[in-house]
Amino acid sequence: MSQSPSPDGNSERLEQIVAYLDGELSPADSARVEQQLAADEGFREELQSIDRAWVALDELPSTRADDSFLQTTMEIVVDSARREAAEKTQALPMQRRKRRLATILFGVSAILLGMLAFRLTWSNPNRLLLNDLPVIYQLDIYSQFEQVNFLRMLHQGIGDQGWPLPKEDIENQELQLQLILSTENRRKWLSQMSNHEQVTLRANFNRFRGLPPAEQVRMRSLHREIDATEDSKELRGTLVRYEQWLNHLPASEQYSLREQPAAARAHRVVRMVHEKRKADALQLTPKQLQQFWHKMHSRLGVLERELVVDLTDGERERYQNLNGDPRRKYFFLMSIATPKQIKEHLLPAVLETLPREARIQFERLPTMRKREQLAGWWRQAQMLRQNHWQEPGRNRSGGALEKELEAFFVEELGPGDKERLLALPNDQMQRQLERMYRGVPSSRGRGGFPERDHRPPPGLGPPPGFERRPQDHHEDDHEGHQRRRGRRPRRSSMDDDHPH
Amino acid sequence: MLEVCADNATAFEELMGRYQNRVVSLMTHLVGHRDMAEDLAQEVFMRVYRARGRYVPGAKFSTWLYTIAHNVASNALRGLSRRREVNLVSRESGEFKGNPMDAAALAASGLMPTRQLDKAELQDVVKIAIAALNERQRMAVLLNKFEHLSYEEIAEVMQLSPSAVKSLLTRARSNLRDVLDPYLQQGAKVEGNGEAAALKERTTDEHQ
Repeated sequence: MSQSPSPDGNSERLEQIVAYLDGELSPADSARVEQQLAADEGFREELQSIDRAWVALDELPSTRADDSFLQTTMEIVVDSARREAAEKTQALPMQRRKRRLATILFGVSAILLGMLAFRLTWSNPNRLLLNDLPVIYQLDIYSQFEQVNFLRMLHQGIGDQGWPLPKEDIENQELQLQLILSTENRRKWLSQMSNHEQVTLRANFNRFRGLPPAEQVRMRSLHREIDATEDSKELRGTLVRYEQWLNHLPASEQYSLREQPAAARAHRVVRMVHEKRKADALQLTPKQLQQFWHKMHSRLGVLERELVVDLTDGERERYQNLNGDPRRKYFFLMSIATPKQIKEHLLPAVLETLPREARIQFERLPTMRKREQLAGWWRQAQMLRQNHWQEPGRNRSGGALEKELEAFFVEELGPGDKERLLALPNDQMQRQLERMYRGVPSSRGRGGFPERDHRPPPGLGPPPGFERRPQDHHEDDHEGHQRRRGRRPRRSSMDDDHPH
Repeated sequence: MLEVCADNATAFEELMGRYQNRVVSLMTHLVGHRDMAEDLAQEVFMRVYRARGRYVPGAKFSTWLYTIAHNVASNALRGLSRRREVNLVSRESGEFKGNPMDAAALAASGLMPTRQLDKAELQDVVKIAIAALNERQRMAVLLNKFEHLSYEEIAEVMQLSPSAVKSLLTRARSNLRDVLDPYLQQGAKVEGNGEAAALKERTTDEHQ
């Protein structure tokens, strides 16, 4: 598998891989590399081998300076400063004369240069900036769409309240826009900007001036067109929200959106926003997870007492091997319980602990996602409990979350999921693993990685009740299990109330 | 740094306190001798102090610091190579700083038998792999991996174009993979004066 870069296309391919791993590719190139990663196993393996060697460098021990290093160096520096000061004092009279002459020369040349610069530039930049301020301020978003109708489609599909964004951010941005939309306020607004904001605006201004004239004209017209419409207030609001929402997307995803025709793009944005809202509704607070855990724990106890009297020999052996591990016990009980038992003893009581929106979204999930969501809540609650119901630290050097994720990766993911995760750069792998751990589906929707691979790793993972054949994917797990137990197959309790 | 420019010694001390371990560590990996690394780090800070008047407010201090460190290290390595004293990176042990999640993930994948590896042995192999890179590749790798500098910043430090840095890092990472991957995959130990030496020869040839 080891290959060295050769003068042919291989070195270009390696450059792409390395730049991708370092996050140095343009969004377009990143999207291309991701497509190739999904399609080409050889490419994926090569990326993995490069990344593996890079990760191994973490083993390089770091070195610390000796305790005396700082003191010794400071002594040398102080000594050097003393000598420098002495030299300066000796040369002072001569320096004074030189400095006076230099000041006069500098003053004269500054006046000449200033006059020249004024003549060259007085007419252009400030006037341009003031005239085009709203477009320059929102340059990124104006480059993302071509027609006003695109904003209208977004507004119809999502409205003002549907965007999963912090309210304060939107209000703040709307206020800023309101100020710069009025030409009288622009000068005042500019004078009140912080240094950082000035630098950002200057960069936008330079980018705008670097655009082809036709593109500048297009953006100005688009801006005027929005202003002239009857629903300009709603469209401006949508523009602000769309911009903030886009900022949360990875660059490659922004690029792939931009590449789509306007109608398809609007449709996809609306779908993504709705999916995100649904996923957000299923995120529980620590307090809600605590209530969920207590109810789940007590109901699982009832279920356990009922089930242990009726275990087969194989099941009893597995039950004894659980050694009280709550993670394994959960999967074991969920796999051997009948749909009726789950529906009557577990679900209603557990769902009562959820907030209304979470309950509604949960009821709408397909069976397999319901399973994953319940397992996800259970895992999160279990971890919070180990952390005394406090949010765990998320640093990468250790802590409860890392241990939990590691156990989840090793014990619960199938080989396909592992392979796909390992093909991702480290930070993406970490984020994706966390999403899967919490039972949250991919933000890329059904078509994109990762849909969960339900093959468990050999010898580990969920017990047999959760194993699925590919053709079983939309069937109920319990049916297969019931057949093995010699009972009449029945639909899952989770299937009863919602069509796929 | 602006305080340092205004001859504030306490500010310089604070600046040194913040960067001394990073500079010493960088120098140790670059020249391979701990004592020499500390001398060079001292030289770096001396130069920073002397050149404080030339620091442009608004420029990123770390980039400026590493530019000086790069110059100091390059001069030192040139002197060393004239005296034919280049050794492999020293074999001092250190605390494990890697991400345990990543390592466990890789181990669990069955793709690498990390769990069976002796940590000290792995550290040795990594040191050999780093030492086998040529000076410029090593500098670029250390700045990118441990100092988290972008291609553009590395280009500024090493006075190269960003595309040259891209090629440099590509060759470096390919060389690292060639040395490390057989070991990571099969646990095949790399011999310090065998494969790595051959690689060193090759990477020196690539040196532009």
